[in-house]
Amino acid sequence: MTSTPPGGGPRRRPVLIPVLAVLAAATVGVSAAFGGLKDAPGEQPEQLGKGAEFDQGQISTRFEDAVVRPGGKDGLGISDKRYLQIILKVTNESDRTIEAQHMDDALPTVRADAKTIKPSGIPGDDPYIVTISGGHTYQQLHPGMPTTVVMSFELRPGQPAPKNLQIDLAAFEWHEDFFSETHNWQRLNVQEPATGTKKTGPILRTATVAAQVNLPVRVEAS
Amino acid sequence: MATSSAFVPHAPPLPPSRTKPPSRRAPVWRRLAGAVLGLALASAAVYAQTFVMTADDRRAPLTVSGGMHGQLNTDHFSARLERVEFARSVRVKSTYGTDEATTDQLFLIVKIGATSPRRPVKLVSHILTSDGLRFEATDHVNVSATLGDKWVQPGWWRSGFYFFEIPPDKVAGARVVVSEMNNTVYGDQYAPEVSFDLGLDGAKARQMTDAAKDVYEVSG
Repeated sequence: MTSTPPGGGPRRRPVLIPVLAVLAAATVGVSAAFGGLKDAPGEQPEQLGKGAEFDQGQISTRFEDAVVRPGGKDGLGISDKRYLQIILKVTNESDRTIEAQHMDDALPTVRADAKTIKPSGIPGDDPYIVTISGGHTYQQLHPGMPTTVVMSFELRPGQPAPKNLQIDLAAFEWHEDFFSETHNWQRLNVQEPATGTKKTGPILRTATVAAQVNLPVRVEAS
Repeated sequence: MATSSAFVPHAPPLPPSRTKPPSRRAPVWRRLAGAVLGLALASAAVYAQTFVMTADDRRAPLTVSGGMHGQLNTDHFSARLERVEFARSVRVKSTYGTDEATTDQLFLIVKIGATSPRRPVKLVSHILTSDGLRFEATDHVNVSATLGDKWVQPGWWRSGFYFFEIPPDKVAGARVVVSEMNNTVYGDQYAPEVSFDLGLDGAKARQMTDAAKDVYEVSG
């Protein structure tokens, strides 16, 4: 098109190259304006506050309080230590009794002032999760009965109380097993990395974050 | 017969058939009836698929059902429901003190008698409500006060309690199920269970939950 046709005739202006150049410049400009070629950031999960209730599928959880207090109240902990306690009201929406320890999977990540305290990375340093009733601690969550569940983290002596908590919430689905065709509740997890990436050690499944809760932390005098 | 073929006369040719070869086409009514029968069989086969058990049902335990006081037998144990009561709290008296169990709901207390034909077993129990909810025996009452902690042995009956927390409005039509303590991973997949109807319809259930005792005392 741009080459001069053999023989006579008027010489055509070379249009294709300038047009392509303009298009390329426009493409680069528009891409840059919309944040370049990096992956777009994922959709921000729903943000919740204190007192919010969130339906996680198998359970429905209300975030009542976050408090730093010494142990001893409601049969939790010992009186010369301080604990960060997340107080939840959990209703078991499934058709059978489950254990409060299940909240370990339901709230996979807890950050205190942007520092991840759950999972802490130290084996055995998991929060203590119980239900409380009448000054005693128990474990069961019966179907349809709203129950107070407390997740407690022990604070080291002199460790300052955090100001804010950010909690990731997982969701559960009624999952059908491909082979046995039986059903059970299963947490929604992030897709596994593509096959071929060999990993050693246990497979750690990361929960899909269905929502995030931001809780201000109260400090109760000892 | 081992005679020479020369002595066997040739069979005379068959007389020509008098009858015409049968018509390839069946009469219309037969073809119609055949079509109807075929359709009926096909739809019956499709309908029969609705009776197939779901995978969840196939993996469920083998249940023997009955009512109050009747003895139910399985291969692993026999059991009978002896008593049903309601209470707002349970006091467990042990050698060195008492333990008070409270609930926001209601305690349903069943007394179960059991024996075993061959080997000692431990039995666990749960409640199945009329709308299909499953309540495990409560952990508010120490397991040492229940039959779940005791060995049920061949040769004699032993009785004990199971305690459940249950909302009062779920009581009507509930059943109590007793099964062998079993590991869900490597235990017997076809373990038997017995299921007793508590015999509480709406009015009876309300009457009994209203008459719940304030404190129910057991030793454990």
